Amino acid sequence: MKVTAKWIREFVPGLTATPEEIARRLTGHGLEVESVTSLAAGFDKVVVGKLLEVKKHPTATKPLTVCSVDTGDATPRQIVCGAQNHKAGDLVAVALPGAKLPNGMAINKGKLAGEVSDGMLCSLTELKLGQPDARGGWGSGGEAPGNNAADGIIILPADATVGAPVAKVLGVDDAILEVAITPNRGDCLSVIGLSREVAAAFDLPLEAPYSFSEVSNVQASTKVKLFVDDAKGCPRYVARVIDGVKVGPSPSLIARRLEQCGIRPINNVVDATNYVMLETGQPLHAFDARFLRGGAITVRAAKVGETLKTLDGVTHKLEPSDLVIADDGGPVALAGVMGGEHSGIQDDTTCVILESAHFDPSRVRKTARRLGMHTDSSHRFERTVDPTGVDRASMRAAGLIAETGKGKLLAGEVEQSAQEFPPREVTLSLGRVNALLGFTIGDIDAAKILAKIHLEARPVDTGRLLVTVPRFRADISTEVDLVEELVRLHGFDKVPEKAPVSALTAQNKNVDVARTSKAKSILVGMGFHETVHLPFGPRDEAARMKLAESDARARAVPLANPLAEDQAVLRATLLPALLSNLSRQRAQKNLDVKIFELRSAFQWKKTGELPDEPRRLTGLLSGRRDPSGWARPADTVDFHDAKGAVEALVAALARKSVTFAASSEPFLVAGAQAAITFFSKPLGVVGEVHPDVLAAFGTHGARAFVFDLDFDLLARESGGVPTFAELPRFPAVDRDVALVVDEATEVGAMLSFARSSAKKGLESVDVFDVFRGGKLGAGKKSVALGMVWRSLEKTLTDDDVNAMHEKLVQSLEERFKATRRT
Amino acid sequence: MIENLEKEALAEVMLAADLAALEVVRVKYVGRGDGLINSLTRVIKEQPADKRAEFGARVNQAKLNVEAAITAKAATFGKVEQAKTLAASAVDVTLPGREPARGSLHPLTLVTDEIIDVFARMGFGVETGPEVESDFYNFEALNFPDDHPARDMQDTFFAADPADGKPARVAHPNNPDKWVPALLRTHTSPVQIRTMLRKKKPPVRIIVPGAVYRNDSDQTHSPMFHQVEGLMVEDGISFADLKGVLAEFARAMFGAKAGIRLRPSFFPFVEPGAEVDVSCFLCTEQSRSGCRVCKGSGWLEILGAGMVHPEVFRHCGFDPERTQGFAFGLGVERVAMLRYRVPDIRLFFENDLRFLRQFA
Repeated sequence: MKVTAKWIREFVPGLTATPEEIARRLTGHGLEVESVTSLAAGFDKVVVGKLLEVKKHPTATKPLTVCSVDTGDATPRQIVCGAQNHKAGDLVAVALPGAKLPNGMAINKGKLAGEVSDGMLCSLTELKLGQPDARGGWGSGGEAPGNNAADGIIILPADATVGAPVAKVLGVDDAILEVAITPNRGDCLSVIGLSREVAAAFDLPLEAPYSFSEVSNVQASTKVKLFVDDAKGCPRYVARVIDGVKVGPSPSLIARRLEQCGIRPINNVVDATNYVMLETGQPLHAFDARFLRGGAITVRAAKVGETLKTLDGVTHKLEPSDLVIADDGGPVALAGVMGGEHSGIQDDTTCVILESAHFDPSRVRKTARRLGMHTDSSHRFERTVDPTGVDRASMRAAGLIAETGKGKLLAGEVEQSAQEFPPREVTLSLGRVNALLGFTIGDIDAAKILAKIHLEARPVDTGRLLVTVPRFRADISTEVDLVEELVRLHGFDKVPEKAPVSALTAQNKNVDVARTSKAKSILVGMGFHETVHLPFGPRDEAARMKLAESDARARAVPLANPLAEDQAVLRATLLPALLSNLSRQRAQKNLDVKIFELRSAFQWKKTGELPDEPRRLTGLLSGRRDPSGWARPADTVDFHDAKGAVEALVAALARKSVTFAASSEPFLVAGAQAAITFFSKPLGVVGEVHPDVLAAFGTHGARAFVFDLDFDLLARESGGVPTFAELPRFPAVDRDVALVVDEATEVGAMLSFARSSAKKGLESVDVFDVFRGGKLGAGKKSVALGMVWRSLEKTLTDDDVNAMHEKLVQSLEERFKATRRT
Repeated sequence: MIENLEKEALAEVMLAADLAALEVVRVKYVGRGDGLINSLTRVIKEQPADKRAEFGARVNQAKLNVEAAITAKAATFGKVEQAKTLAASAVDVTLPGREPARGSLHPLTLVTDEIIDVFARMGFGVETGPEVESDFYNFEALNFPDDHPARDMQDTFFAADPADGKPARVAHPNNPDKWVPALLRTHTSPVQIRTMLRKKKPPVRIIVPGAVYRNDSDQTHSPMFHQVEGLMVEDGISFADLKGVLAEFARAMFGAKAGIRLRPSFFPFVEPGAEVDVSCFLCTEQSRSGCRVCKGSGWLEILGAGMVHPEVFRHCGFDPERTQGFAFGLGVERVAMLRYRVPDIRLFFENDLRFLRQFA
């Protein structure tokens, strides 16, 4: 809602505060002023000057004049001017040296064609006052003569004071306040409503200076009949008739204010309805009586199959939930939303039927939303217009139309009211107020505060007030609404800061949060960067990952109203986010990438239920293993870096190991991927991304490895309490063996076989080398195992160890058809 | 004779050029058995009875003296060797170190964790909830009536049923015949409802971190962003308590001098409702006019807050007449943008490594 400071002052005559101060107070009272735009910006050092003498420039080829101007200083100044519309004796707008005009022009003392020019005589364009006919450009004092040529300088009214600021003379010593109105404060979508708040904030009286025009003795009811069939949708309707109207431009004050408040001036009739809507908050509509077929207005629900072409030229198909204004031929307006094209005011309209009505807020909202129409009218009706102000607004607008259109307001109104709207009464208990607020407001103070916004409070018994709430405050119907008004007007800044008093109980620890943090920290310690991606993706990502339709990771959740087609679904897996990220990193020459994300994916479950939100911990590695530098090999990451990250993560989080088995994910390279099992449940996968899939996500010519884990499972099984194992007291003996096996032999199988077959004495077994080539021959590899032997009861002798080691090696040879490499 | 032998031995020790030569000297004089001094012990008994003790003592002393000299000499050789080794291992200390790879937490995680930490220290537990929500929890139970313009305050994404692409619906929890939209939660406030319904009665003292969604995208708006919700419901908890808790939070988060300012505002699920500003942590009164963070106002808007609306309590089965409490919600991105001076919200979600590394 835009309003000018001067317009507010019309209703709060005692107000002397600056626009900035008004804005500050309004914001402090919950009506946030988003901007204050001074209309006088650039008018500094622009003053009224009197032309003492106007001479032709002696030498210039262009038609310049050399003027002697009195600007209120001791001596006149000489100014050279290119305009032709001025003469000695005129009062003009003089920009003095140092002025920076609204159009950006800086004024300096200089010479023009050899003559000193100590300032500039301003035109409308230079002062950015636009077209004289559109903006008026003048104060409410009426049109000044001689300003029609856009290139001429401004000639000011003869009663202006020489040396005075021009801003004041031109009526631009004003400012536009843009106020953000929250949906509960429909009453403040009006100048009067905002003025009421300003008056309360400054403790000043509110006045409503309305004047009404002469009323003709012809009865309005001779011109129009009214039938309200849908009284629920329209509890109140008032029609007034103004006859003999001459349609034309509005007076400059009205046109200028409309423009300043963001509404395009059209003609005096339409402008009057808009002006009064801004002033009172009551939307109004004007019909041309000629186009109301049958001379009757009916307010009713639309009929199936009816259509209406509205003022914006769009034809709408109506539904019975829509409320319409109809004549004998069908709908002529969408109630509370927009009028019809066919019945509106024309240049030759003479008889105006003015509608002022109260429409049901949710009914208006439904129609406006369904048709995608959001108008100044529907915006206000949705937020509830004061039902008791219908007639007042009607009178005000009818008066304005009659005045500006030089017409006659016919006697009486054509009106139908299905419902009374008495003020609400709400009981306020001061005990409740003080308990909620945490400090004390007495009953007298409370009544005084409420009176500022026209709420009358009467004591009913000790500590209780009965508050009468006028209908313009549709948002106040319960005690807590009054509590809010009290503290709002008392001042939030005066509320004390207290520390709550509460029982010292430990809240439930959210172990999940702790484990999430820990998992992230572990990965960060391994050199991974955490990422947070928007969870939206295009519809075809599952296909790009070659996932089967039955795969849970292909069950993305579509949006009914996505921002864009490439953000059409909520992703069912985090992998596409990381894969897309890789190509962006590489485009920025970030070639060494170790990233992860931990958040929910979204998987459609079934109709009627919310989707699953499995939390995934997903990582991606590409490029060099270690930070680059002089002291590191430039090795690139491979499968075992990804796998190692998973092993270390799970070990650190859950103190349990995971097992890996070859898997067959379609988006990973066959033979370079593994399914991960944890507590005999599937934990996820790790592997090399298939180059086709990488290409489908924009990465070419690089390898990437991913892991994708079920974090719900991991978090659930994490955090067990470790149990102490006694430290060994006897020394360990190391023995190595290198076994030559077939390439297909899984080292993991060898390790787990070794661990399970050596029941006693084998503390650990690990692989320390895998070698291919040399004399081994094709299809063979040498696996070097390091065993640590130790007894918890005694120091093992060489013989003890040799016997156990030999036995284990022999059983490995048998089981895996291995030979010892010598 | 003993004295001469000792002198000779000590002289040879002095002259030994290296550990090997010293070993030769050691074997020659004090070697086990045949060493020239050691072998003298064998002739102790050949000495006159009255001189035996003195002779033995002198031999022993000579042996100790020579051994001590050898040990000392050996030590000097050790030092030399060590010095050589150490000299060989001198490094160019200006050559960059072999740094382990260093990852980073996302700036939004850093800020969220810090906020959680502050409230955890004040005794708030942490709750979470689903991101695709029922209209009931996201709007209705939070006192956003159907067809009310308050719903326009939050541009909502709706989920669609993949079967037909039409807006997805879920059953209303209190009315099996009513179906309400499934939507992307527009705030973390539905977790207030879920928590109160689960706990069935006060006290409730929680914070709720999480992702939320609005159908909006520009330099300061992202279709997904993060909030931390707070809810404290307990006997006698007042608006003044709300102000106190948020002021305490501001000091813990932004420094001891930080202050807060409340401005009346409207959120359907609280009344009275407030926008909460924190004093600008960058500028002072003197440097205010040019401050890029607060744009000269001295205040930063980061929170919405208020007293829980009785309608919300009624939806959760809490007695609306008696129950009191406050709720607040703060924008994580907003705090992160201000704290790290990130000018564009989209940088958080592009995850360029050059951006992320700045938070390592």
